[in-house]
Amino acid sequence: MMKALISAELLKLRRQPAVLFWCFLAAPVSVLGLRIAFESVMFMRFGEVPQGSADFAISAARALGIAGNPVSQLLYAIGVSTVFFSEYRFSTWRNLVPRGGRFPPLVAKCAACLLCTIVALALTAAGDVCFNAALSFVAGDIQDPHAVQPDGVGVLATSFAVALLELSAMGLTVATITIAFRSMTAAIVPVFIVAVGAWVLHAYLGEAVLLLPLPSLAADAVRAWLFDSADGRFAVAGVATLLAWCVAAAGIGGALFWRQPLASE
Amino acid sequence: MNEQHDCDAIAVSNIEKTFGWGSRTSKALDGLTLSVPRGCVYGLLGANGAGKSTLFRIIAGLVRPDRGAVRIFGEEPGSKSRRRLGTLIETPTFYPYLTAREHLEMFAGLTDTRELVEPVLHRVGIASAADKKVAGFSLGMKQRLGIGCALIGAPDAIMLDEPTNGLDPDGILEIRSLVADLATRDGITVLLSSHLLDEVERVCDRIAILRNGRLAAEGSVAALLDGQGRFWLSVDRPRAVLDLLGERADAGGDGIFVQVGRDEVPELIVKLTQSNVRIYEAKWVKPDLEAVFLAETRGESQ
Repeated sequence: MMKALISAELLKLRRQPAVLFWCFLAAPVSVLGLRIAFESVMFMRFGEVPQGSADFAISAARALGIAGNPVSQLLYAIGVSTVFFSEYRFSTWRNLVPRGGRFPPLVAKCAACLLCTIVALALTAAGDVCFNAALSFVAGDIQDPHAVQPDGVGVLATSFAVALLELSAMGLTVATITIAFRSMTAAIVPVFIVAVGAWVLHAYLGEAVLLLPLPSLAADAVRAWLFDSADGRFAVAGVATLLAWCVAAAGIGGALFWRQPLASE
Repeated sequence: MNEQHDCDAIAVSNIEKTFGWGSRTSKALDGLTLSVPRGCVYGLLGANGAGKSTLFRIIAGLVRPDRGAVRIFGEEPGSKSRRRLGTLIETPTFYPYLTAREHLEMFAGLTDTRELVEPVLHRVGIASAADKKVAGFSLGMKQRLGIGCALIGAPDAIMLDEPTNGLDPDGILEIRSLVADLATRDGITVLLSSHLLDEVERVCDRIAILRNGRLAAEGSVAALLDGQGRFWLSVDRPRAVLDLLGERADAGGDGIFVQVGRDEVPELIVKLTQSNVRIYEAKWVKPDLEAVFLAETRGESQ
């Protein structure tokens, strides 16, 4: 039954192309588009021939930092909230719950969001790799045997996992608030405000705030360890914080929905 | 009042449900016990707010009762037992961006009954609109699709809450014959709620009337109608008769219906003539479900 429920969720997303694009695909497209625009401006304005990154994997790993951008988090939060809120908006829990019970439809929604997130992150990384390959081709160093270092692949995998964990923690939190208040606005606005607040704090106060138990700061802490050789305790605390947010949000959301009366969705 | 057996399709016992907090508390169901025998078309009647939809939602697992138990085909309610149940609860609701066929395929996927999609589309009369988005459907078409969704899992019992809402007279006739067909040809148990008393009287084998969340009356249609004949009078001054008889009289049918036993009729006639009321016509009216319903729900508004 889970397979059918997940297929149903993906079908609903496919039939809402605006949600699918703006909430899950806009970030990778924007990252690539902005990079192309930036390199084009640099070439046209200053005549600098753009250079590809020395290591494609490291470059792609850095591109995955888009997961920590408040605007991409806002778009992602809207997407996740739409997936959960649609059953309240259209009063369709009454169709799903008698057939699928309480937990399986929730798990299917989480799985659909996770799948979209994985695709979005994979596209972000793939877009960056393709762009670097194109730049290398233009610069004539396509034969460079060091374009992807073994270490770089590990960094890319870690960065991918951190971005996925960060967006999962945020997505589960958004889903839980959507269920609790049966409202998209109530879920998206506070999550966006916290994301912007965390971003501003990090920008002004630097590493001093990275150990605060917020998902974006926790992910930034792991990225600081990954890319900027920060202390290993940042990585441990960051991963622990992200996992704790995931477990807590999933537990609270599941418990709320388990007891939630659906007298009128 | 309502003996329960393991062979019942749906059975609820001592169900209580209260909504709201503090001074806004309202008791939707108050110790309700009833059972729907297998293979039967069971009608659920009651005024608005009597608790019909709450009962449907509790059976479907959308709302938890405060007290009491539900059994579906003798089993505790759960995903497995509820898969034997098709439901149409209140207004049918769908995703406006999906087509009728996509809805049916989606729900069929949950019960591995994809082969039923085409037959069900034809059976509920929306095959020609199967590939149109539900956003453009009329209420009647949504009702048909809702019934289709209830049937798609090849259920052993279905619950239909106001299935003829929004349908034109032809549609009502079609759904009525479909409901009868489901019970007689397919052996599906039907739990039906409707405000159309005539429809319920025609298709249901047994009826329960709810009042303020309690069971006011229950039994076969014939048993409920037995002894419920009404005495009807055509008079020159109906207002005077209503004042004279108080709660025993109701205006209706261009005259007045009076709650009176057969033995009391002569005294009633004498009393009215002594009050200078001229009686043009007096007769016993064949009982119908409307009379039973009104009699059983009369105390509701008082």
